[in-house]
Amino acid sequence: MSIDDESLYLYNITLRNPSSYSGSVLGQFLGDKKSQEIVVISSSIIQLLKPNSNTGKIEILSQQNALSGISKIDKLRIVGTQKDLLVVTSDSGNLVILEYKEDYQFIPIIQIPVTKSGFSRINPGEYLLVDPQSRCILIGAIEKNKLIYRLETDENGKIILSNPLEASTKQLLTITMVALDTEYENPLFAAIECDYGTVNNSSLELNYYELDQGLNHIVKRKSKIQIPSSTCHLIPLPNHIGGLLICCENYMIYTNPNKNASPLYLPIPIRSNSIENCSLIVNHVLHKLKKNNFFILLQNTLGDLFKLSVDYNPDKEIIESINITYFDTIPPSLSLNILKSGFLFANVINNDKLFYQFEKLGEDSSDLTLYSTDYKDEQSVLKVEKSTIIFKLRGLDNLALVDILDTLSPLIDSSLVEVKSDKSPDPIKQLITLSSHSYLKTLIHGIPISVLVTSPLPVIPTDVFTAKLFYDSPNDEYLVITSTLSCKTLILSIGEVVEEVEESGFITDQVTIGVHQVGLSSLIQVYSNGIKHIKHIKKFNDDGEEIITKKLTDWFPPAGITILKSSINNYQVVIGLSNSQIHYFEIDSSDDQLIEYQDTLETSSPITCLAISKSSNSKKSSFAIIGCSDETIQVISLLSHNCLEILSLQALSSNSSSLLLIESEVHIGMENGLYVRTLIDEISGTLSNTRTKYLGSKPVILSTIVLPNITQSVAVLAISSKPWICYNYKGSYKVTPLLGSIITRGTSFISEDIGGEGVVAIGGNDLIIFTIGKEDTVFDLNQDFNLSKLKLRYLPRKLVADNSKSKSNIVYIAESEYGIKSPYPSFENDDINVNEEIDEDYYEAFGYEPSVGGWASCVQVVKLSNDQDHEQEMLQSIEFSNTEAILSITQVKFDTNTNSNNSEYIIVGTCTNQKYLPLSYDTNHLYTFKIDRKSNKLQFIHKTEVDYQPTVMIPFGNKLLVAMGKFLRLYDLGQKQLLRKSSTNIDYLTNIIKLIHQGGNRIVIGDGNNSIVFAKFDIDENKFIPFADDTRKRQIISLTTLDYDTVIAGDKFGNIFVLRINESISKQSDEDWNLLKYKDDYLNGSGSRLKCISEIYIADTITCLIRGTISGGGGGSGGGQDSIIYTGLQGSIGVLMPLATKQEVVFLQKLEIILRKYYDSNGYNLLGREHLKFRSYYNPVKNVIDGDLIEKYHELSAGIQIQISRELDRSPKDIEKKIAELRSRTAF
Amino acid sequence: MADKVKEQNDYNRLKAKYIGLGNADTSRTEFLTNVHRDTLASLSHHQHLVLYNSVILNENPELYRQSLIKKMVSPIQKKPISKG
Repeated sequence: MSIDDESLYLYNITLRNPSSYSGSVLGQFLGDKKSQEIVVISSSIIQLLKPNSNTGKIEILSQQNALSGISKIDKLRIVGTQKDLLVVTSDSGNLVILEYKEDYQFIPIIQIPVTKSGFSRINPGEYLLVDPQSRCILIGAIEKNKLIYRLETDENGKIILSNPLEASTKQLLTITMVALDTEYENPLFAAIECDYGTVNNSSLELNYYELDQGLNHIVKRKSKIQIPSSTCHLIPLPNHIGGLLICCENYMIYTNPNKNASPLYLPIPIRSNSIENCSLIVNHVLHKLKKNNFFILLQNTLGDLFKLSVDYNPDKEIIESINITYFDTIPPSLSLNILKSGFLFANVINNDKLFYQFEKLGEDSSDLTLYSTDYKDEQSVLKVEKSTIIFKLRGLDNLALVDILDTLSPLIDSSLVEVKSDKSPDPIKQLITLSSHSYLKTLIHGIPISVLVTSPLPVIPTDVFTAKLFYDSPNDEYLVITSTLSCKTLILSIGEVVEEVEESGFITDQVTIGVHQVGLSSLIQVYSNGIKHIKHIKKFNDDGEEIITKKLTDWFPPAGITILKSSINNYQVVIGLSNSQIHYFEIDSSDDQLIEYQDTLETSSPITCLAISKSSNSKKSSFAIIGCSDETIQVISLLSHNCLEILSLQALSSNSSSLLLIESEVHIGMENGLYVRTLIDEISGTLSNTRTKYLGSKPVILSTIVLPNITQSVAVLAISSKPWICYNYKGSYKVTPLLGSIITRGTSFISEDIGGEGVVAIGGNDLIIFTIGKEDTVFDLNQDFNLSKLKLRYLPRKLVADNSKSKSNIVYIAESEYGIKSPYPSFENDDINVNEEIDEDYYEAFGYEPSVGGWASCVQVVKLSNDQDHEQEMLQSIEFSNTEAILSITQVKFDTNTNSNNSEYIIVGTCTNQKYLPLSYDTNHLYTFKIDRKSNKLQFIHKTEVDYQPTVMIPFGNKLLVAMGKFLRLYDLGQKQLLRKSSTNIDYLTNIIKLIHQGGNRIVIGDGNNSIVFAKFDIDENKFIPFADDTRKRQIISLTTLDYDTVIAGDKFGNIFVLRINESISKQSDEDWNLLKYKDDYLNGSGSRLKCISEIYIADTITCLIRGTISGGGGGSGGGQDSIIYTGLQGSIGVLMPLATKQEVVFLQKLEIILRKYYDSNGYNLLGREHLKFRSYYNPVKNVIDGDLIEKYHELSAGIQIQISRELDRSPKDIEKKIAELRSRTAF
Repeated sequence: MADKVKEQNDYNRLKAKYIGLGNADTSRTEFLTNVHRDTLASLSHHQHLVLYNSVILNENPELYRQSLIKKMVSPIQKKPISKG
């Protein structure tokens, strides 16, 4: 296929999966009898969470991109097995059963086509219910259709699904469904439905669907019970009681379809007497205890939990009473799960997911309890005295929060900010997001550290070593610090306190080059003028105490020659001398003595570094790697038959500064800041398969460290201008910056006193001991980002990062929330001094008071932190009145002659009494605030009334451009208000929601209904004239510029697309403007059209597109290549990276086609959705290669990989390298 | 004539299966009702669209989803539902 020069090819990689979980299912998916796991789904991702009942922490065990729109999940268990299976419905139209396999993957075991692909109102899959006894699966559509599949197993224990039984009723809408627990009776399902064919078509009805197992037929029964229109939730009771609870506004009804008893009624406790404060149950979880005991936790829309229990008389088989008690208040959740180990997982709506531990079950509480025996009939519940059912809110009593799972959903706006700090020369790239109901969350690529000790040293340290004394001791005992400047060595012992060791036997007035434990009980110190060998002999003295005596041996180099470099393991010592000679020693295994090899090797040029393998498994290193100052490294054999023979030689781009040999990999740190990893052949010693990464502006120094919780391999600590750690994780090699500390040397340090594995490092004049990972949290390598957060007042809408030159690191945030009443006074109130203490914790725990049609809005000013020690700081909060909604905010610099200091301003666009569906509002205003540079605070100047909703504003030249509805208006600053300078009406636009200034007089308009329009400001006519628009009516949400003629935009449905104007039109607009200006309108739009050059579907609403690079990159310049970062409403973060060469595009296209073919034809797609169809959900995918699919190459077996590589004429290693290289180019 | 009858029967059969089906005789109201019902169903099916609307309205997503389905009863008798 031909690739023309104009086209733009993008490569899509997801960096963080969406985290808005629409469902969660608890089960034993690992098949382990003792543990329970939680499966959560977001739009296209299935995640398995594993709570640890000992530590109370939640760990993400696996994340799988299903590349399909997931609808519902449930679990299923075959009789006689211990393992739960996952049942999934999706937009593939298949009913899929998945099993979790050992290698961190769900594998499809059954994929049954049910219906057409895609979501439609008659496609079953919106409701998925599994009979509690796993006898059948019901899938239902929103309208009309329901199918029941019976589950059987064949003689091998394999599941077979029967042919579906159908139950379809015309003109019937299903609102919610639930499976009843019937044990040995026929499986029974209940549904709240609405029949729009009948006359009284707004009333809801309760229908039962029973699978008659004898007749193999579905029986539909309509319940006689009248249910109110507010009914929204059904709760089945356990089998020994049977029946179900119907939840509606402020009360519940109990009914049993199999018994003729009259229904029971029970009111739901409410918070307060106000009309707006209704209690509507939306969520429940049933937990069975021993001996038919059980309880149900109910949650209402405000988050209050109630405990429901039933007094049941098993002899008479009647319910004596249903009781409901206030339990606790947690944030409102979509689903709850109770673990057997006494934990509660709350899938919180729009916020971090929370993990609670039960302290008690509210047995002896004094909280309000209501009994169904007190209410005889429906009337008595409806007319209940409100004051008798009000409960008192209180803090958590029965539950205790133990863990928080950070999520970003809903991610509303984001910005990439470079924060400069005094400590580090490299600015830190932060992705600032407005997310998770009311937080400012900052993401930095990297792994945090927690510093345990920082203490100044008497000398200026240049290197640091740790050593244990005996081969079998687990802890490091000596900490050796050396200084080349003062020619000193400091030996510290590590214990409760760090203190200097007096009689270590070490030379202390020389520079130490290496320290290591050798043999069984000896230590070696290599210093610039010799080697000291110290043998520790354990003896018992007369009192039976153990004393250690030391036996010292020395080795000296020839006179006038010093030792420059050394590398030591338990059996071998290699040193490099200043006369370019290499000496080799082995340790005598019987008495630990050093034996020198009779020959030496003289290298061609001075030695810069050397390394031998330091693996802990008792194996001698068969090679030594020598770095020479002629920009080469040499591999030297250490085997007896060809000892000190040069096996291979590799030229580098610069001198090597540090070398490591770990198993069969050579790690090279170079003086030009590159870090190279290459494979060494274990027999011939040849080097191959080189991977390179630029780390920073200083020479790279490498050392090995041990990561906590990860046993597979050691990690490499690479220090250039900033520290990095490099490790293998789940098949890929990651190079991640370490955040929060500037160190120059570091080494692994193992001690019980710091709880295991740590790092001891030197930075400046200080000794720093730290562990990797945040304190109190599980060290989780799944998270590439380090996340920090700041609580905001209301739902954030927009953020403006201060773009002035002063580098103030300030962010202005506009927040606005609908339907609540704010406790804070408005800034326009005169009595602003009446500063009542507002209990923010109260509102954080229980939420703001609801108020129909109310608004709460504010602007907050945040100072970003520039290093880890400082928190982000809230500088100012400006509260608006309780009818006002903030729509837009921008920073602008007016060119005013009256104002000599050229102040900068923040403009806030608001409207009052905004209501949705349909949209209405009263008045609109623009508030002008001046930025006070000294205090970084905002000062109110004036407000301007405008005609329409100011939906978006940008600075344009030295004026303010405001879009309202279909109008574009320019404003300048006046004394009492903003002054209108120009107004343009673009007829065919309805709702302008994005604007960008492309430079010159050109702007790009993004419309909520009518896609993208390019327009030019005509100075003569003093208005904007559109000259090119899109061919499709897209609903734009996000927009950013790529170049003068090209923009990238995202719409509400999850499409991202690149639009470009024709080159000739672009030229005309600048050179022959009159031609274009008077061009006739065409088909209800301007005269020319844009061309869509790339397009892809992401299963998320794209809220923000940013051009830049997120990877820390070494130094500001040499980091990742500029690409497009997108953030989605559900919290997904991804990158679209431009592909550089045609060869690359051709190669990736071929690989993508082969992978698609492989997955589609063999039923390996997790949910049976074809990849091409998924990425072309609304519009065909164009010129975007999906890295998410390409990276599945790693998951394939070696055989398939070879097969694919043959088709591509490459080696499997080549393909793997290419994929890794693409990823590391822009991300990590 | 037999063809005509068969055609009509085929149409009726398909119409029973696929409720959105229409022909030249479909009235404007029926057509619009179907479009609106499909739109509402699509909004309630796609998680990110439910989230998008429920976040702005500050409403429980599940209740919002149910309210969309309830609107499908008579979608065009009231004011047309704005898509966002």
